[in-house]
Amino acid sequence: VTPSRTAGTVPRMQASTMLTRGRRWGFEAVVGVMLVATVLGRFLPGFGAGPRIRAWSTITVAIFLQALPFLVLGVLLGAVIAVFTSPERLRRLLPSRGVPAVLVGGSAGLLLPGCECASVPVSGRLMAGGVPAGAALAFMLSAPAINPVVLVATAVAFPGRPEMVVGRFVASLAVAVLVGLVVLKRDPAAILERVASLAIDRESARWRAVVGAVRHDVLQAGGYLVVGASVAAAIQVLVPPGVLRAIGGVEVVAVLAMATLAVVLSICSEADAFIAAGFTQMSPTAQLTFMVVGPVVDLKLVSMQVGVFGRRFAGWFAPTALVVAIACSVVVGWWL
Amino acid sequence: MGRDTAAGVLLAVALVAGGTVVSGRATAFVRPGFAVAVLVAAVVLAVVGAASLPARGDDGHARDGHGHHGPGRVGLLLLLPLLLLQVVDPGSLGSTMALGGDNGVARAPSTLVFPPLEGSGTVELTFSEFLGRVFAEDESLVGRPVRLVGRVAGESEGSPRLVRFVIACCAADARPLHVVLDGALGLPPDDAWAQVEGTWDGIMTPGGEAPVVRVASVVEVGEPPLPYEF
Repeated sequence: VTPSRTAGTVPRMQASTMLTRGRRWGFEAVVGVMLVATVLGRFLPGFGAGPRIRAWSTITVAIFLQALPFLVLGVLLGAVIAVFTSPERLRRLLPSRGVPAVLVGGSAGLLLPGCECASVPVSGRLMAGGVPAGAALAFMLSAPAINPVVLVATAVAFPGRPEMVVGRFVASLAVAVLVGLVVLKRDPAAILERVASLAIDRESARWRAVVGAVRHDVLQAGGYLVVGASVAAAIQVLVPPGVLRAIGGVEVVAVLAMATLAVVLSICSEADAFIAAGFTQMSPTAQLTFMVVGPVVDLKLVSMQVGVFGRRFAGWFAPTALVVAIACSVVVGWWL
Repeated sequence: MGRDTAAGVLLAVALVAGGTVVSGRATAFVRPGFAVAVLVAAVVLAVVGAASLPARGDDGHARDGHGHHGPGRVGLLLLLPLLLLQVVDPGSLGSTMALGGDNGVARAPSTLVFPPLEGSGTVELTFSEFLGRVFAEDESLVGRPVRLVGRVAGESEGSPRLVRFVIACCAADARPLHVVLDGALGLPPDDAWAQVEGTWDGIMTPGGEAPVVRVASVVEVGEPPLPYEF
């Protein structure tokens, strides 16, 4: 996609002109576009946008602003891990056999207080640093769901119902470990090929390497985050809210509806418990499904996974995670 | 994407995202606590962006990691939310997104206890407290003059309501709360902010999802600094 990748197919002269032009005008072009936009906004307030466009803009910007601190935290953490630890040391931290490594990876999710936007770039860097794909992905799935901040938020959203917190913890950890084990059984060559491009510049100063990794990951994961945010916002604006409320009565339908809603809404895992609690007419199992599916599969997350792990892998991984998440919610929901 | 373009995008994100916090615009999108985190993230991105600017005479198109590919053009999409902020300047959620709400948040089981309202004058309540008291069947609220501030909705369809959104983190998780207005003359148009004084006589809409407030007075007001409840 980048000019340098196509450089081999165009005559050398032309390629070098393209590069020169990119060097001289990339920064200025961004500044110019932003200036023009700001001036336009001043003289044409609202730009004649109707209420739906405005609502879509508000939600897109809201998801972006809210995800930004977590994205930066995750990217920074990933960059520091990548630059300051060697693959050997990372590998020594984990059990060498696959199944125990997945269990450790899944449980390590307790340690990253953030939401799913942080865990995608971190797990990409872990994999590039030599952590087995199954363990890194188990970490990615469990971190947004079972970290202390999210569990406390869940307890606040469901006052007097600690079984919802326990249910969420158990079901989400089970999803992470099960999907991690499925990844172990498959050949992860497809992702490894992609994350290899996340290699670290070990020749220059360490802070330069951190800056390089942060720059790369924020732009890559952030660009896809915007894709997911704008699609999720469009669906929120276009689908009338009453549609899903009508189906609370039938249990099977309710579970599938709440799973669909979790995928579509793309709400941060720190907020999803409050939304789930608001669906008072839904069964506890359906509410649990919403909280277990959301941090594992949603539009902005799948979009980011496409960016970090590649389209082929994400196309297999997201449906697998979705099916496992619904199954785990239904099984755990049995006891609620 | 070249390193100079990348630096430009990161600096633009830092400037616009940080700017929304400094100017107070951010509360239309995220809760105030998150705004602080956005500011910290903006500072980090500004540092990374500035450190990425090619030095004079440097080949600005140098790729990260000696020959490895830089991020693809997808990174340019980070400019989309910035452009929406600068051009559309959408502000807080409008009343369109409140249509069809059922006050589910206020009806969720809660451990909040509402002591009876004291005094006898007009009392200003948040939507969360007002509706919390309604669904908790608080007797001290019935017939008591109350003051509510929210956006007008449904006025153009002849079923006027006053709405306010509750958010947990950001506007994407906003849930509408609403009361139905009865006898509101001179109501400002849909989406305008209004301060309504009136009383609840214990009457609910036929489906039981919202209280009907008998309106005594309506004043159009500006948008509050914190447009959402939490």
